[in-house]
Amino acid sequence: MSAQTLHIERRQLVWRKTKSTFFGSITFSTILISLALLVALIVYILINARPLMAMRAASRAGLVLSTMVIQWDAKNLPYVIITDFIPESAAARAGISEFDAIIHIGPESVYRSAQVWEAIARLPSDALPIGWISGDPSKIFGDLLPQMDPQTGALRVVIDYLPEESLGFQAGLRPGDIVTHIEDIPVTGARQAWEALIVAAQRRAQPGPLTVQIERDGELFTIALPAEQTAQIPIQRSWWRAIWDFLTSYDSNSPEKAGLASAIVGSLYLVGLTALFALPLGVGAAIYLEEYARRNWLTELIQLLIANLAGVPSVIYGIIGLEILARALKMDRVLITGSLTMTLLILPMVIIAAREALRTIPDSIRHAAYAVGATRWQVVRSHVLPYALPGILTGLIISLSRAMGEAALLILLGAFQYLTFLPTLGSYFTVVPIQIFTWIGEAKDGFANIAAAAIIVLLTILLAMNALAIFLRMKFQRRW
Amino acid sequence: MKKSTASQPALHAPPGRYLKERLIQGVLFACAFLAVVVTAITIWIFLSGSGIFFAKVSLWEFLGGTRWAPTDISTPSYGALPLIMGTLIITGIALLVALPIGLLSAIYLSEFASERVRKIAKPILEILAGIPTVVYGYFALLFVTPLLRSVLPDIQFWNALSAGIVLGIAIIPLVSSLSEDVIYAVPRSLREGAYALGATQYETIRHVVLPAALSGIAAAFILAMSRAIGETMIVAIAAGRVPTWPPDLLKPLETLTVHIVNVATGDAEAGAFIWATIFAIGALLFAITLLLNILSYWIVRRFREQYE
Repeated sequence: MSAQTLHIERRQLVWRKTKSTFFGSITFSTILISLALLVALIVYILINARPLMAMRAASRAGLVLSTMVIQWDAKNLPYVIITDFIPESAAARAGISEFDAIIHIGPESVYRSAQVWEAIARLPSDALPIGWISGDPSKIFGDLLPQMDPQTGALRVVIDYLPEESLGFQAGLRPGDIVTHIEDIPVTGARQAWEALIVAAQRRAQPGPLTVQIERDGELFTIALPAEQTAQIPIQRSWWRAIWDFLTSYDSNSPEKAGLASAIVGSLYLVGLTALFALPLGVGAAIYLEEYARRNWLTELIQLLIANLAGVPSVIYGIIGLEILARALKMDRVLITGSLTMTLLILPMVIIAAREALRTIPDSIRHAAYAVGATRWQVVRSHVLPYALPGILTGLIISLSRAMGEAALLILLGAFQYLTFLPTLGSYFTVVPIQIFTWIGEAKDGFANIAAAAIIVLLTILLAMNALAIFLRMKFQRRW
Repeated sequence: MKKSTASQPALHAPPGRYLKERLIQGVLFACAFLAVVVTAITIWIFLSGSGIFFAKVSLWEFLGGTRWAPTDISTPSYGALPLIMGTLIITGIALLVALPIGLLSAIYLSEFASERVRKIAKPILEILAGIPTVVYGYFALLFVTPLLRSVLPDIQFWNALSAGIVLGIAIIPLVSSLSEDVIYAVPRSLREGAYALGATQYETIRHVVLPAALSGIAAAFILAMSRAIGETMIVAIAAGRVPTWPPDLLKPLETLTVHIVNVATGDAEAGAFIWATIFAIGALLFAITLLLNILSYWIVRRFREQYE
């Protein structure tokens, strides 16, 4: 009987112990989940930021691209064009100009600008073999004129005027020819003839002449038209150049040219000013609450309100800043308004951190100072504050890193701007998180990539701020 | 410390010293009193701003209407229920993610982890806490949504589900650090008492430590909820900024905070009636978060287990 009970108890014990171990490993797995999420986030952002180097190299070589679409048979066929002509660039010297369509990179057809950047990143040498079709159809076909066929009534396209230096003339086309097909694509309009060239050229595995069917004096001819031009464009690939360009250029409609200059300057101004406002106010309030305040209802109320203000959503502060500072006080939505509002947001955090720092200073320090006749302020100024300062600064920097990453509040204060200048105290402004938000909202290829690059810049700044806080804590903190 | 009136002339305070002390005390008090001023201004702004709004729209229409179309010129409609439900759905998903993971992490860190593991694990959570919310928004829109699409093909580019999940990830550190503080504060003697009765570690945590820390954990949950309700950027980026009724997890939706961002980034002129909506919405948001913050403050005070 007793042996049986013991046996059951042992089995129970094993079960209870297993349960305990199992529970322990489940709790541990949550840490692994957090780690996995962090790694996934960082790796994903690094991967997305990788094309930056190729994008910058392309734009420096004069290849500022857009992905466009040809609507055809209810299908959308993408192709890549040059949207920005940069004189004196490598591309301009090779004869490429604005609106030219890029068809091949080496032996590959390209349909999207991202493919061009991938090709640049993979390039074995620093020369980009590129094949393009001029964006100006008159350089190929001269002037095409749609006409009604007098017999059948069908629409057809006639070469009306063809200059001798055009590609078509050199290939054997003459004015008066009716262009019927490009490869196997029927030609139905002047613009469409050019689009047919693009589509036909994209289908080819290599740049080369395209066959054009024409009708001349009632007879059909086939002509080989070398519409696609080729060149080797020198590309300077350097991460350092790319990062420098990215950090020093202004926002742009082309992701290859857009940079963070105004946003970084705006962020630094904003955080600096916020520090300037928040440090005296926060430390003053903390000193009052820790060193001066009597325990009465007012002190209790102030403490309760500070704790509550720390939990108010940032958009609410945005509304307050907008209504009081920007509108009622007519300060407009400028940098200084933004930093004053940001001060309100981080002030509760600064106060709480500063109070904790003040609390770590033992009373014996204060008593020693009082004993030699110091007044309360003298005690605070020359004894308590110097010892508490590292702790206060650490708390301030942590709060400022919150301000650095804050976007919602500043959107209300008008930091949602397209800037092509460096902001100053009284000007409209933008900051890095808002620049990221704007770029995420852009549909064009490449903006997601530079948003990722901007995220890396933001995280680097935050990391540096936190490293500074840790350094201050290690270097100056003392135990009592 | 009271200064005694010195009998020797050398110890007399310099003239004006008392005045200077009072002045400094006054300045310091003003810094602290700023909290009262800011709160008062906030309440005043929201009361007066909502006054304009509710002069035109009835409270019943605002809280009960299911069509939110303030920009509709011909038939504007101000039913905030889609926004309120949107906020609740996003918050609900976020809490489903953040509460279990955050609480279990807290239990691991305070009960199971060795000092060495703690030194690695805590920074992971702190880094997660320090990542700006626009970054989480980017992650939700471009990484989590495509990932979800492989399981749920119907999911739209902007949707509530991925925004909610990522918002949950963003508040895991808040839940875990607040809960860890209270779990850690449960005195050792309670655990040792349980072990002495033969309880396993799981039983100790389940029946002794967690009940003792319950009020603090509840307060942490409420703060996380308040934070999720007030969160703006993740939702603005990943959930689509379109008020929908009835709300659907796989479709875009709009929350209270996002409406405020929409008005601010829109092209409405100052003084247009749409600006009044952000005061009504803001007042609602402010009231909800304030209530939750006070509730958590009260729970901690009321139900705190006092030891010793």
